[in-house]
Amino acid sequence: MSVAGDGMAVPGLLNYWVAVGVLVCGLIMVVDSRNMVKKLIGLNLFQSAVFLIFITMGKVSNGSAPILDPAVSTYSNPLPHVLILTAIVVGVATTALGLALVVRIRRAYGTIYEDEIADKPQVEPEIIP
Amino acid sequence: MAQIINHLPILQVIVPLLLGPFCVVLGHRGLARIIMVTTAVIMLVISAMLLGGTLQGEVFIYQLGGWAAPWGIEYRVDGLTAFVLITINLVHLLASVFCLGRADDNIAASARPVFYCAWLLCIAGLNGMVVSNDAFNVFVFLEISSLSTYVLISCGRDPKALLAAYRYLVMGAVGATFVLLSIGLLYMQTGTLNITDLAGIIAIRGSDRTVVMALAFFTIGIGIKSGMFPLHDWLPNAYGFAPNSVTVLLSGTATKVALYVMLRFLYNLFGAEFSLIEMPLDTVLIICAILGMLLAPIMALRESNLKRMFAWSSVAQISYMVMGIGLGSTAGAAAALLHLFNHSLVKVAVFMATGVLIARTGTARIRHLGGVAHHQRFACYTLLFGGLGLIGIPGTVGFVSKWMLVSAAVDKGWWWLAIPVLAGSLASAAYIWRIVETLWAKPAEIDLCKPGAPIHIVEWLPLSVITALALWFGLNASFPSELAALAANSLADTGQ
Repeated sequence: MSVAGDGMAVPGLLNYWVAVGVLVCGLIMVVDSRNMVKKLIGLNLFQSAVFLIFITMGKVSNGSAPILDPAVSTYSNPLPHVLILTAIVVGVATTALGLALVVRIRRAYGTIYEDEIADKPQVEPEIIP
Repeated sequence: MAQIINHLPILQVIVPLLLGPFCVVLGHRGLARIIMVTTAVIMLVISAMLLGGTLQGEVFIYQLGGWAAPWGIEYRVDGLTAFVLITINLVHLLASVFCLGRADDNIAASARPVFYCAWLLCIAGLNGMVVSNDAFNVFVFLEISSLSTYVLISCGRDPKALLAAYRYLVMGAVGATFVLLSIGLLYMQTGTLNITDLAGIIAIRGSDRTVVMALAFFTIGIGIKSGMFPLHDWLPNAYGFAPNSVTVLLSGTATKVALYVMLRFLYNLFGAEFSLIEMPLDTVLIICAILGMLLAPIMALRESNLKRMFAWSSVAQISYMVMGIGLGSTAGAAAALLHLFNHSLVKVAVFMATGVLIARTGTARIRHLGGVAHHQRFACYTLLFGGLGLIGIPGTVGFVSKWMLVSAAVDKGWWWLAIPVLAGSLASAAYIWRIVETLWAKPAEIDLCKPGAPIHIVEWLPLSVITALALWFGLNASFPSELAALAANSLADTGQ
C-alpha cells in the first residue's frame, strides 16, 4: 500500500508516522489533562488520527477520486472514506455528549478541573429526601 | 409467516431502533411506557423464535438490502448468538417492567420520554452487536449502545453520576476507537469486513505484524467495554451512581455483550489457534482473571455504598467469564457462557432488590441500612438469595457454572486454577455476610423506613420471576447447560 499521490510525492510512510504522532499526542492529552474540556479535545485528536489512518489506506497509487469517468481507469478505494464518514458522525456525537456533561458538571460542582472536584469536601447527601 | 421468520434477525434490531424515537415524538410519559414494555415483549418473542430455530440446527442469515455477503452487511444468528440474545432480551424485559416502578422517581416526568428513548436505543445497539456479522457494523452498534448508556448513567440521583458518566465516556470512547483502529488494520490486510470472510482470509494468509497489532488493539478496546479486570475503572462508579433500573439493565446486558464480541472475535475472527496459542493471550487473560477474582472482592469488602459494592462483585464475576474465554477450549467457552447467563440472572435480582431498598430508604450507605430486613422482607430475602448465588453455594446457579469452569480448567491440566476460584468465592462470602449481618442483625442507625411504602407490583413481579428462574436453574441446570454447550459448539464449528 503505497501512499505516494499522483500530484505531490509523499515520502515513504509519512502519513502513518504523522497519524501515529497525532494519536499519541491525543492519548497523552486524554490521560494527562486535568481540564475536562481539554480531555475531550485530546479525545478528538486521538479519533482524528485513526480517521487519518483509514483515509490513507484508501489511497491507491495514481488513483483518481472514485467518480465514474471514461478518461480514468484507476480509482482510489472509497470504502474507507465511507466508513470514516460514519465514524466522524459518531465522534461528533461523543464530543457533543461529553461537552453537555461538562456543562452539567460545572453547574453541579462549579469547576471543570478534575482535581478540584476531588479536593472538594463532598457534602454527600447522607439521606436523600 | 415464513416470510417473517426470514426477517427476524433484522427485526431484532430495527424494532427498538424505530420505536425508541416514537417515545420522544409522542412526548407522553404513559404512551412512552407502553411503547417501551411492548417493544421489550416483542424483542423477547423474536429472540425466543430465533432460539427455537437454532435449536433445530438452523442458522439464520440476513443480507441487508439483498447485497451478497462480502460486499453487503450480513446478519447471522447461530446457536451462540441466539443464546446471548435470549439472555439480554429476558433481562431487558424484566428491567423495563422494573423501570416503571418507584425505583427512579428522581427523573422528572418531562424527561421520561427521552430517558425511555435512550433506553431503547441502548438495547437496540446491544442487539445489533450480537446479530451483526460485519466488523464495522459491530463498531457502529457498539457506539450506539455506548452513547445511550452515557445518557442513561447521567440521569442518576447523585451529581456524582455526571462524573461517572463523563469518565465512562472518555474511557469508552478510547476503547471504541481502539476497536475501530483494529478493524481498520484488519481491513488493510484482508480487504473485507465480513467476519466469516475475515476469518477465512486470516486463516489462509497467516498472521503478520498488522494482524498482531489488530489483535492487541481489539483486546484492549473490548476489554475496556467488558469491564475486564485492569480496565474496569469506569465500572464501579457507573454502576454505583446510575439510576437503579439502569444498573439492572447494564449489569445484565452491556458487559455481557462486550464479552460475547470478545469471544466471537478471538475464537472465530482471529481463530483460537492464533489468538490464544500463537499469541500468549491465554496467559494474559488468565492472569487478569486471577487478579480480578482475588482483588475485586477485597475492594467490595471495603466499600461503604451498597450498589458500588455489588458493582465490584460484578468485576469479580466478569473475571470468571474471562478465565473461561482464556482457557481456549470448547468446555471453557461453554462454562464462560453458562456463567454469563447465570450471573445475569443473579446480578439482576440483586440489583433489583438493591434498587427497591434504596428507593424506600433513600440511602445507599450500608451502615444506614441496619435492620431494614424487618421492614422490607421480600427484597432482603431475594438479595440474600442472589448473594448466595454470587458466592456459588451448592444448589444455586453460581455453583453450577463455577463447577463447570473448574472442570474445564482441570480438563486442560490447569487444576491449580481451582485455588483462585475457591479463594475468590470465599472472599465474596465475606462481603455477602457483611450485608446479611447489617440488614438483619444491626439496629437501625437512623430509622429510615417510611411506613406505607410497600413494594409495588411492577417491582415484585420481575423480581420474583428472575428469582424463580435462578432458583429453578440452580436446582435443575440441564436446560441452560445444554444451551451453553450448543452455543460453544456452534462457536467451534464456525471456527473451522
